Amino acid sequence: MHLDIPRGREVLTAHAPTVASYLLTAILLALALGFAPYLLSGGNLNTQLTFAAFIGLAALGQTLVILAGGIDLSVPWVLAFGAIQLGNFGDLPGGVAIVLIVVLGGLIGMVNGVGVVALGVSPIIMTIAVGGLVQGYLLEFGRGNLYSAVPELANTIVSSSIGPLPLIVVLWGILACATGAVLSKTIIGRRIYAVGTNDRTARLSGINVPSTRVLTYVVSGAMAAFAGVLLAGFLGAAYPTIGEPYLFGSIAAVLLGGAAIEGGRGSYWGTIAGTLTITLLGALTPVLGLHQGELRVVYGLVILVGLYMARGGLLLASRQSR
Amino acid sequence: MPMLQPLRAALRGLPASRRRRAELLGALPFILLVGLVAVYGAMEPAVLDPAQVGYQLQSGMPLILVACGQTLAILVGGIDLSVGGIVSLSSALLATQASTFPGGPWAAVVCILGVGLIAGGINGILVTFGRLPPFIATLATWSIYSGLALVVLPKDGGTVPAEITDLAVGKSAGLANSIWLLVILVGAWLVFRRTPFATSLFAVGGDEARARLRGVRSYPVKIAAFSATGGFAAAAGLWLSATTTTGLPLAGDALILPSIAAIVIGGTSLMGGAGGIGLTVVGALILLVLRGVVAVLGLTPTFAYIVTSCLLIGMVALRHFARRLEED
Amino acid sequence: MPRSGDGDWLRVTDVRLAYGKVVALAGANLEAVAGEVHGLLGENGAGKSSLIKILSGVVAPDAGSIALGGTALGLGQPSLAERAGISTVYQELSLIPTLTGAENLAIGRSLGVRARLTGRGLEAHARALLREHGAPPIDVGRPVQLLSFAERQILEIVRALSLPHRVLIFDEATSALPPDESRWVLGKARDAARSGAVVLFVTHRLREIREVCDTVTILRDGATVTSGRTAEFSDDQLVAHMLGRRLERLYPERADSSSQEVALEVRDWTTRRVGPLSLTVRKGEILGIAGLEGHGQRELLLGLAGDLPSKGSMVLDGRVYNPGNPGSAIKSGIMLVPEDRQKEGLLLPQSILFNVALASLGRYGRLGGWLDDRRARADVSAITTELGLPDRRLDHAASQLSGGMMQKVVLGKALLARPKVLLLHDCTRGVDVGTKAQIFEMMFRLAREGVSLVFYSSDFAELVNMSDRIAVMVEGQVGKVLEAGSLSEDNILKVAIGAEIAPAAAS
Repeated sequence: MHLDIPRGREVLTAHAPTVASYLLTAILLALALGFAPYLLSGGNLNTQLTFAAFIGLAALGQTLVILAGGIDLSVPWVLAFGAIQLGNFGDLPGGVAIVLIVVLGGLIGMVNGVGVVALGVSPIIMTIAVGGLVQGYLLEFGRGNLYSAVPELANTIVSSSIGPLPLIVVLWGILACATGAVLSKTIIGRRIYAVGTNDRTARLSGINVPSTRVLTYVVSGAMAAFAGVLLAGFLGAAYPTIGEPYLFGSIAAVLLGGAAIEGGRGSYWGTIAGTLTITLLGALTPVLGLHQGELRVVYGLVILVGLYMARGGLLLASRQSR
Repeated sequence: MPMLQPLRAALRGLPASRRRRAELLGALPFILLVGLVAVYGAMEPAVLDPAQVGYQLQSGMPLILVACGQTLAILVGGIDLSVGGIVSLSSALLATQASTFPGGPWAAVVCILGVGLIAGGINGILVTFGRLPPFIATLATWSIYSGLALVVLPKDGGTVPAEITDLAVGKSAGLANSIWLLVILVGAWLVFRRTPFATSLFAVGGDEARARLRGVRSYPVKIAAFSATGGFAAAAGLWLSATTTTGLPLAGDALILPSIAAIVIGGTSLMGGAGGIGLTVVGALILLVLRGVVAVLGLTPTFAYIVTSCLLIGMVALRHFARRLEED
Repeated sequence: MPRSGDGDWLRVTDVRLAYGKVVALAGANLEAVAGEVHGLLGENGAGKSSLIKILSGVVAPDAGSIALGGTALGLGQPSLAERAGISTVYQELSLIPTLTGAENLAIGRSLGVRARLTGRGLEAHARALLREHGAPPIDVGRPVQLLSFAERQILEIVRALSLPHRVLIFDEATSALPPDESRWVLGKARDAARSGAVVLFVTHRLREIREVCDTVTILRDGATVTSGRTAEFSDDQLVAHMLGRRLERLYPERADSSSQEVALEVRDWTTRRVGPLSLTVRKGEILGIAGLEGHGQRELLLGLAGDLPSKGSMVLDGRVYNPGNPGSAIKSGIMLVPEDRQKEGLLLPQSILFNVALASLGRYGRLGGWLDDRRARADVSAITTELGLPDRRLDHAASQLSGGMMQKVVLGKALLARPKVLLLHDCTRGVDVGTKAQIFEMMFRLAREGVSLVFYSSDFAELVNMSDRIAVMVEGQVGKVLEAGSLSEDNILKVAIGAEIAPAAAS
């Protein structure tokens, strides 16, 4: 990566996967405009952006975790935890409840991170196990599938808007810019890339590898819980499987954004493209008369196409810079 | 060779303690399983009755089959998330196609197994010739296969020919067919383990570059392993539909993560190259017996989740620290 | 079994190979006949390993041909080489760590179903093989990763011997073995030659060359410089051919800059497989660390750098130094240039700029963590210019660089961290001559500026020319510290071997 604005052909090499993912987004956008322009007008646009915000928030932490060389499979359960806990904290003032839930989500993430760095459990296993723990908790305390006590604040956040945009989307935008900037402009960002690229080199260069790793899981947990809170507010309901689509969604958004699953390569800007791609697909398929099944097939095919596009872009760019 | 005496002594000296530790660690899942079964039996003697055992195995068989298949993908250094999709697809196909299949229901079963092998083979091709990391490749195909399942059968339903159900829930020579299937599975694995192909499989998983150095053609081996994983997943879907007599186009997803848990608890390394289906059967049985014990104790399913998760973390952490000890 | 018969020969003609911009072989030629042990000699990085990789089909050459007994060899596929009868004892071993010894000996071979189906048969076969070749008994039922290094090396050799072979290649098969075992290997090489195979033998030990090699080929900088009967060369001539003429120009002039002031003092100190030992590093001194491969040099440096836990007393600049990890070591002023520049020194896909700044990121923070891009770029640029890296390449990925350039980036990172004590782990290995000279200049300059250098090199000549004092490591201890006046390759070797010979006398 670069500390400063890279020049000339290096721009291409560094950003080829991101460019490729925006290209994919653009193709889908063109399709959407061609087949169903009403999807992207006024209220519909805001609905789509709101859907995107949920995926984008769940994928925010996932991006950091994957960049640092891990993976977080507990996202759907932590998200459901956020949603259900909102009802359980019904007696608390809304703001306090939300902050508390985000902190608890971060703590769950910390358990993931500590397990990975201190117990030597591989990220896949650790986050499956922690996901299982959270799932157990949800089955115990989230048995009523629906609840009514959505705190005032959650309702407010969901229903209010700033200018023409829903508040949720604005929140996502702010967090997205912050994440993008942290990753490319700060020391912490450099450390995350270093750890994900080669943790041995990072350690010998004086970087605190364990704390960097743990941090990414903490952010992932906190963001998943926050997304859960917003989703509960949006749906006016919460249930233990509310997060299920976000296991696939959060990882797919990161990968479609051009990040390498091995870590060290990618950016949140790319993840945003991936998020929009997934949202557009979800919006387009019903328009085209396709159902849930076809949507899943298309998701899978688009991921494969996206991966090869990112790879092709990388190859092309590196050949040019020779 | 007398001149090698000092060396020999040195060799014997150092690794002895290491070996004992490794042995103990390897035996831990077996000890755990025996202990759990003993506890289970002591609390509820009826569960040790062969008919009961057969029934419990019958409901646990999809997990066992998926986990056994997943083991092969993991042994070659991969992982297969798409097994969930293949289970669903195979279940949906059986419930929609088998009754009307030209050539009869058994031909349908064979064809569905073939679909599983092909679906797994596609994973293998993406991982080898397609050069995608297994996690990503199978994440994509998981979506595709589970989508196809929903296309074939949009929601639970369909019919399963009676003769297929009869075979799955039936008995042979006084024992439930589920027990026989497990015996055949483990037996076949023990035989397979000794074939040259199995050695190549372990070699590729242990160190692909070195295996190639030794003349093993790693791509065909990996494709075969992934293909077999798909075949096992298809078998799991068939079993699931046969025993529930209906098509379940969404049921597979819930098996992905437990299948990985069963493998890890059994002792197969996610790094590849070590472990096996025998161990995975033990791991899956531990999970199944645990659920039974929790139920007998009158605890909520929450408890099963928590115990499973703690067991998973504990086993891996234990192995990690044992390895660390060896290094020092 | 080796094909009996006569007149088999192996001929390598003008083989060339480049990895990207790094030239590994620039015209290697070799001719060896059956019945002889043929030594393949050369410095580290001379191209021996590359040539062996080509012979055994691991990589395909860019140009050139290889003929075995009159037929051209198919290249670039291990299976082709194996079918042609080329069997190799790989330096890095080709055993699969998770498989048992017996399985490793059986990979890719049909033993007959019966022998396989009972695991005993497989193991009995392996034990028979070990016996047949006079190797010590090894527990072949264990995964190879649970075996000692010597046991693994022996298995690797038996594996190569047991394949049908017309050509047998030993790539540093003795470097990790105790003397008795080494002698066994030499015996096997001679036996193989006697039974009609072409034997290629790679070793760094002059003694072994004299003992076993009938003829030799010497490689330097990827090309064959000479070949002939071993007896025709004196030791000095062999060394001269291996090193070439560049010996004198390599080392810059220098005045002793070491003071009596102590920079780092280590007392009764132990780390993994090393110690207890005591060592003093003076300010502005270059302290050489010598030793045969695997006698604790790596652990010593990693321990000092805070990567391995250690016990005992360390005092740095008069203050107690107790690093919990490399991060705190760097903060205290000790920085390591690690052994493997690609796997431990660099973030290969990241830019040079990022790599060089990596260990000093904290210095470029402003407003709580925002990177001061411009200042970082300016400082990095100053360092890389000094090391001879063009400025315009700062945004290139480190993976695109040649070996020498990569090492410069790793050194640049260490320099930017401004250490008081710089630990160098064989930082000239596989580096071209020009870069080597630059690295040496830089080391002298640092010493003049009062930085202390702890310099481990596998090249004794370098140590002698560069160091003020040399500590020779023997089995995890400091065997002896050679002071100015007694610095010579002979003395290093004597200390290193002196302790090595002792246990052999017991047998």
